[in-house]
Amino acid sequence: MGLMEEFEEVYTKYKVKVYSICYRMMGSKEDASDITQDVFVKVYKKLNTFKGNSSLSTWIHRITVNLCLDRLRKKKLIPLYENISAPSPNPWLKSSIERAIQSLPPGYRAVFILHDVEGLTHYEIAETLGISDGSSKSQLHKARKLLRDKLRGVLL
Amino acid sequence: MRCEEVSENLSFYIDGEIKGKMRKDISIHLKKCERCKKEASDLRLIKAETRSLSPIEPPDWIWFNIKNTLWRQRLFKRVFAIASAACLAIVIVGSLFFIRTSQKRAKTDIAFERLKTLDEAIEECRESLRVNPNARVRKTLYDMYKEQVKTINLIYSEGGEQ
Repeated sequence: MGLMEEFEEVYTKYKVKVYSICYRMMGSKEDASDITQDVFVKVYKKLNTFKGNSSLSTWIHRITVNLCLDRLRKKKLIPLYENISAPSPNPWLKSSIERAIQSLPPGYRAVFILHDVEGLTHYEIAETLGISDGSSKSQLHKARKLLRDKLRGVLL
Repeated sequence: MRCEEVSENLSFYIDGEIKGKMRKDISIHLKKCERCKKEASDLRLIKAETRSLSPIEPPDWIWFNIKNTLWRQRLFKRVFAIASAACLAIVIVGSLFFIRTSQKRAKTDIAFERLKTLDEAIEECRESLRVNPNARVRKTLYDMYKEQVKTINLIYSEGGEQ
């Protein structure tokens, strides 16, 4: 299999995950698209160096989150939230949660998205973000508490 | 168990990360305390709703942009490699030409020096022949003329133009 074909497979496998993380970290389709492109251009350049799927997956998560955090640092802006249409029995609560995620501090936001949205374990998050297991758990706890405070009016 | 202690551990509790006696204590507290019960139920709801947030499909044009970027980068690399090779070739050829020219110039410089010395020697020999004509001096003069012609030929063959 050629490098380009292998890359296309990786893109197909990870595109939704990467774009979803970018979108929820940045809150804008434009930024999410830009960062998704940057992530996969980097992936293509390093694809040869990855043997196992797990290291590739961790690395993709890491560069995705790091590029988002870099962009947020450069912008120094609270992300704008664009509505996305998602079929759900309770779209109103979901959209409030989506909006509340955007208002979390970037570090908490990254841990929250990776754990509660993407389903990564604390061990994987620690590997991805270069932090300890304990730090990941503690940041998740703080993120959830902050979210609950922000959603107080919605959670009746 | 106090509410603050329960609140500090609720997130870990709903993730099932708290086991044994502490889990039991929190469960008992939650049955009695309405405030903590509400907090636990909110966190559970947030967790459940968050887990079911839809994955977001990226627009198709992203793939085309990525391929386009990679193509442009590869093209740039190729052009850069060709330009670098051309520059290197120019530098090598230029250096060889310079070295060759310098060597030629050194040879012709020596030949010109020799020619000057020969001219002076020929002049002295002719003077000596005028005063005292003899066969040995004539032979020496003849040899010097031959050497002079040889040296001039060498200068022309190396491209000297002085």
